[in-house]
Amino acid sequence: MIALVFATLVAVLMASATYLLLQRNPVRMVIGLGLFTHAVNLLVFGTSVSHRGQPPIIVDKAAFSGDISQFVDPLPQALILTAIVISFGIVAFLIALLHRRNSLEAVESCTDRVDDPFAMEPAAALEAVDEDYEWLEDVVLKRELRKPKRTRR
Amino acid sequence: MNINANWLAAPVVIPLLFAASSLLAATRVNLRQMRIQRNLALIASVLNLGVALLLLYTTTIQDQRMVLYAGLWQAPFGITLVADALSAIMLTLTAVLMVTIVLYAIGTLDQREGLNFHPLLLFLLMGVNGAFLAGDLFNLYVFFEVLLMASFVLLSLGGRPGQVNGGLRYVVLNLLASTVFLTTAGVVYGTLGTLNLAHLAVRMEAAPLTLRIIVAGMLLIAYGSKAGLFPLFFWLPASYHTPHPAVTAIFGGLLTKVGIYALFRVFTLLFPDLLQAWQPLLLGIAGLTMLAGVFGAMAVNTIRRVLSFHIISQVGYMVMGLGLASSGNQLAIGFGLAAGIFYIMHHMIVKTALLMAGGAAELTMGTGQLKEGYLGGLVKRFPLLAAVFFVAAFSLAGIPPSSGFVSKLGLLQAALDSQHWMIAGVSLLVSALTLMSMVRLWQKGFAGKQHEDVLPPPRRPIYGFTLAPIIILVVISLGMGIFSDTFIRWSQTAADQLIDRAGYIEAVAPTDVIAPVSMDH
Repeated sequence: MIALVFATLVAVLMASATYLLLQRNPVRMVIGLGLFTHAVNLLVFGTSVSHRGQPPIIVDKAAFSGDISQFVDPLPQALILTAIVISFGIVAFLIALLHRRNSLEAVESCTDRVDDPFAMEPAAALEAVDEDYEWLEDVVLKRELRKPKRTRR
Repeated sequence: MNINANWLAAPVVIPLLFAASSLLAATRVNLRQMRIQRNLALIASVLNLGVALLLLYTTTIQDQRMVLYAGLWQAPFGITLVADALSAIMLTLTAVLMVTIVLYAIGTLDQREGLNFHPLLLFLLMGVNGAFLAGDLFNLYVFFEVLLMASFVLLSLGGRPGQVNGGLRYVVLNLLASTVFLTTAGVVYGTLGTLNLAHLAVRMEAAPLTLRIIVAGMLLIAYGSKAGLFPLFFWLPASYHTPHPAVTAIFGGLLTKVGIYALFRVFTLLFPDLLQAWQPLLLGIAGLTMLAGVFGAMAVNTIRRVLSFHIISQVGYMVMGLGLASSGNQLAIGFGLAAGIFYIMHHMIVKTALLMAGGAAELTMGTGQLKEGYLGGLVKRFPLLAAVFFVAAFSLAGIPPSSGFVSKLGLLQAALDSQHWMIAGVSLLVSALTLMSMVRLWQKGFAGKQHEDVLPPPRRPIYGFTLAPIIILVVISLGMGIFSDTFIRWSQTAADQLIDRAGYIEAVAPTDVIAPVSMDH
């Protein structure tokens, strides 16, 4: 019975996450990713819920036959703890990236986009665009500074 | 020579220690701190190379497997690190690339992107090494996440609009793939009660076919999207051209190959029967990946975008090797697999060299735009850079005596011997198209004259540190072509060890005292 509840819950969470992921709004996408990771954590947790209230300790070691279905398996909880930390960290980083993106000026010019949720310019074609060479700014800047010296010679 | 199994922890521990200490060293933002970080990274990558060579010698040349039980916990219970020939080969290649990329960064990195570049690089190294050594599914997931975390930050280190946008796409799609991977791990643990790969190999044989198909399919999706397989590769060309050239070079050389490694490991160890049954699927994916990559490369117009698309088409060749693994062959059992492994070795070296040379050209000229004569004339200005690019490009296209020729020949031979005419034809066609694309890069980017209206950029010196690593990699590639028998023998050892599942299970020796939980709870 508990397993069925878990399965339904995981299915509902995954369905809503998928719906949110298919939205164009980046914030909804992030929320969708958060829900998705939660659904998976719950799924992993569900693998350990067979007997409630039983500690994962073998009291009588001599009589232990190897049947682990008599107590709650602690391993999935350790796995989830790791998974939670990882997914939390990545979602936090994603939000930081989004914040950085929203603070850049180029976003304002294309608020009502329909195709690519992350694009900043109206036409994001496969052609080379200016943003390909932003990492070169410093180099170009240095070059601009160097130019006057050359003409003097 | 028997070396202590504790050495297996070194490829994970060395980068971690040096990364942490170099973060501590950088208290203030200035060039001196960057220099300290750089020196620490150089020491760490050289040490790592030494350990990797030691492991390569033990596993590949002496044909052994090494197993480390963390805390001496028996196999299915504790964390297990396993190194066989394939792991050691991948570790060694990673270590070589790391050393060269640190040298390349000395020549090209500026202060903006230079801060904390090296600690992140070391975290990336730790994740990649860990993924190659992981002996269970969950640790594979964890190390995947470690390397992805480091790569997310490396990708958006400059904080420029293009990098932030590319980074967002990269993070979202990779997080989705990782979540699919974690779901699979949960399903596997819930049904089979173990995560250890050797233990899984035992239990997977008795598992119902439905479960095996579900698990194999989900793993194929998860690893396939990390490796950039058709149709899941769209995050790669959207992001790889945005960061600093040093970052692109190490990503192009390393990251997709971790996904490929995981595919090789999991499919040969856990699903040998599905490898046979799904051969048409794998070969179909391989062919479509090759074609999609090479056609994509024709449609784009900057040096690094073209090279990014070629990563995808090359990944197709590796999966072709995996697809041919199960087919019998008159040369040797598993010759297709060995050819695939040799292709990985060739590709990691050559692709990094190409991306380094292309990045250096973009950095020097101030643009990578192939149209309208923005580039051109690089042969006269920087003959040495043009020469190494030429050799690397024609190695990628498969012109003898480079490593590309030998590796493509191996795959073709494996395909023809097992009478897979279709994939053989596709691989030949893609090879020709790759050559065409490389000729286009050469003509538009390096040879010819610059357009009159375009102002010639002032000469920015190409430092020796920028050129030296590219030369090292190109020499390695030529060496792999000329002395190919040694490298093919290593790949054959790796392929034999992959096919010898019983040997892997025996080496890890999982104790099977605990029965899986019954399914009806």
